[in-house]
Amino acid sequence: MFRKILIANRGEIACRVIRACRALGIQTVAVYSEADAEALHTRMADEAYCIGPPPSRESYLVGSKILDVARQTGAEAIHPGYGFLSENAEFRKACDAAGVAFIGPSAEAMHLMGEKTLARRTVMAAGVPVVPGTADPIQSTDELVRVAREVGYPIMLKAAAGGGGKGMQIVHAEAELLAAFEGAQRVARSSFGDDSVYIEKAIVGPRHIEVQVMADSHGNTVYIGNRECSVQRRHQKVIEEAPAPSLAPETVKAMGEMACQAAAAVGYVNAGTIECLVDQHENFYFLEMNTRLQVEHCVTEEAFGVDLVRAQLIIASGGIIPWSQDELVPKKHAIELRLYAEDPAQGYQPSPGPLHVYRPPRGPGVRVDDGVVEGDTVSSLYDPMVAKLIVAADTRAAAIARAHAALREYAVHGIRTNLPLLDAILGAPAFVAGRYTTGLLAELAWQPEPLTDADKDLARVLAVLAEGAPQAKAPDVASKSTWAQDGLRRSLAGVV
Amino acid sequence: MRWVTWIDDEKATVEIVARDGALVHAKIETPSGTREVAFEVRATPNGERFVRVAGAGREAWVGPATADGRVVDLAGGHVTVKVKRELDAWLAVGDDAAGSGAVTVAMPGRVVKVLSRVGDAVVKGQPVLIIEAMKMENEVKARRAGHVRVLHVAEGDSVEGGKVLMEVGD
Repeated sequence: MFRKILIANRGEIACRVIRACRALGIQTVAVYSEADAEALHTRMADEAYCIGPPPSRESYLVGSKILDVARQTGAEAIHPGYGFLSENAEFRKACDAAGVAFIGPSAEAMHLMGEKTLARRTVMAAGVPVVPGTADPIQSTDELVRVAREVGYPIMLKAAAGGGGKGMQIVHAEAELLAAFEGAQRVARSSFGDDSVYIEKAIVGPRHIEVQVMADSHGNTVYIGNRECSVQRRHQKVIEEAPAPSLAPETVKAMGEMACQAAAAVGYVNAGTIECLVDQHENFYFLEMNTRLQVEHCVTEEAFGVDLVRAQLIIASGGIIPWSQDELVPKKHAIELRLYAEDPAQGYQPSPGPLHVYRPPRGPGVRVDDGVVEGDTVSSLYDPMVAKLIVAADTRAAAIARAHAALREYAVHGIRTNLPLLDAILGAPAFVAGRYTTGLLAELAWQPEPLTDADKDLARVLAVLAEGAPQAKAPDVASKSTWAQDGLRRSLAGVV
Repeated sequence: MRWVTWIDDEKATVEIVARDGALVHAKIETPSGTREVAFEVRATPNGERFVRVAGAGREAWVGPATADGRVVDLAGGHVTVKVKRELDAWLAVGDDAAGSGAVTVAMPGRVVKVLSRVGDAVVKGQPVLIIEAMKMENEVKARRAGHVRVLHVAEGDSVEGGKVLMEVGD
C-alpha cells in the first residue's frame, strides 16, 4: 500500500479521499488555489501546498504544478477525485512519466472513453447497445441539418469532450436547431476548450440509470449494482438513489453485465461508471463511461456497505478487488441529495457567499459529505455543490422519511440553497412511487409557497429588532445573545 | 421608535411596543389594518434566532444589512425586508418608485451574450444579458421597464460582482 498520496482536488471529494487515506494509515498531501488557503481540505490534510491563483485553469487544472508538489513531497500516488484532471489522459501520461501512480484507469482507457464519439464506436464494437446518432462531431451546418433529419426529432446535441451534462441540449424542431447548436458549441468551448458537438436521438421519457463497476489489474471486473440518477436540472444530477427503484432483477443483471463488458472492452482498471438511458420498456442504451469516481458514489457505498475509495486505493497499489460479485447485493436503500448554492426559485441562479450558519443534520443512517464549515465562503469560481446528504434505511419508504427529517434539520443561512426544492422532490407522487423519468423536475415546476401574513409580520419584526434600538450603544437582539443572559439567569436559579 | 418596512412593494410600519428580555411585543400597521404580535426571540451572534410564538418553537435567521435590506430565512421560505426609521422614510419619498434602472449581477462572471443593445425597449424582468458564472450560463434581467440607455460591457468581458453592467432609463 502507498505511504503518501496527493489529492488533486478540493471541496467535499478531497475531504472524502483524505478520510479514506487516513483510515488506511496513508499520509495525505493537499493542493489548493489562493482562494482555498483556508478551505477545509487544506486543514484536514497532513500537508498542503498552494498551486496558484483562484481560477482553476491556473491552479487545479495545471498538472505540472501538481506533479511538482508530488515530487517534492514524495507522494507515491495521486487521487484526482472527480472533475478537474480526473479524466485527463495527458495528465495521466505525465504521472506515468514522473513515476507517480495515478489512481484511476490507464491513459488509453481514458482516451477511448473520454471522447464520446470514440467511446460509442468502441463499445458498439464490443456489442454494447447505444442510442442512435452520429459517431463523429458535426462539421458543418449542412451536415447538422441533414443528420438531425436522418436521426429524427427530437434530437439531443452533446459536447464531444463533455461530461456532467454540460453543453447538452434537446432540440424538438428544425427551427430551433441552429441557435441550439451555437449555444451548445459556446458552452462546449468555454467548459471544455473544445467546441465539437454531436447528435443523438433523444429518448422520450427516459430514466438515467448508471452502473458502478470496479476492475483490478489482475483481470477481475465486478459491478456494484446501479444508481437511479433521473432527478436532474439542466442535465445536472440533483438526487440519486441506489438501487434504482422498480427495475426488474433481469434488467439489473443485464445492465451490470453489459457494464462489465464495456469496461473490459477498453481494458479498464479501477472505479468507473457506465451511464445508461433506460426507456419505459427497460431497454437500456450506453450513454458514456465516466472514468473516475462519481459524485454520487456514496449511495452505492451506503446501499452495499462498501468503501469505494478504499477499494480504489487497494487496486491502484496492485491489490485485488476486495469483494466477489456474489457478495455485492444491496443491504439498504440509499438516497443522496445534493446541496447546491443556488436559488431554484430564480431559475437555479448560483448563490455564492458566506455560510453564516452551517449545521448539517445527524442521526442514524444520515451521512453528510461536505467540504465546508460554518464561516466559510462558497466561491463563485468553482462548482456550486456545497455538500451531499446521504440517507440509508432498510426500505425505500424509510429512507425517504429519513431524508425529510434530515433536510428539516439542515441549517444553512447566508446563501440560498435548493433545500426546499429537495424536500418537495421527495414528496412528489412520482418520486414516492419510485416511477419517474428525467422529466420529473420540469414536471414538478416547483415554486416556493408564498409566505403567510403571520410569517411576514414575524420577518418584519425580526428585521427591525436587528436594526437595533435608537441609542447607539444599546445592545440589540441581533448582536448580543440572550442565550447567555438566560443561561446566567437559569444557573443562578439552579436550573441548568 | 417606529420603523417603516417593505417586503417587495408591501409597506408596513412596525413599532416595538414592549421588550422584556426575550419577550417582544410589536404593533404592525398595514394599509389593510393593524395587528399586534407577541413572541419570544433568542439570538446567536451569527444571525440565528430561535422564536417561540404561543409555545410553538421555530428557527429563523436574520442576515446582515445590505442595500436591498435584510434577508430573513424562516422555515417556510425567505423574504428580504427593507427597514428605515419612519423619519428617514419620509425624507426619502419617491426613492425607488420605478425600480432601479441599473442592471447588475451579484457574482463575478463573464459576459457571454448581450441580448439588448442601446436603444432597445425592455420590460421589467426581461433577460438582457447572459453571464457565465459557476460554470453555468445565467440570465441577467432588467429590474424596470424602459429603454437601454448605456451598455458598460461587451461579450467576452469579465465582470465583477455588484458592478453596473447596463443602465435602463425612460
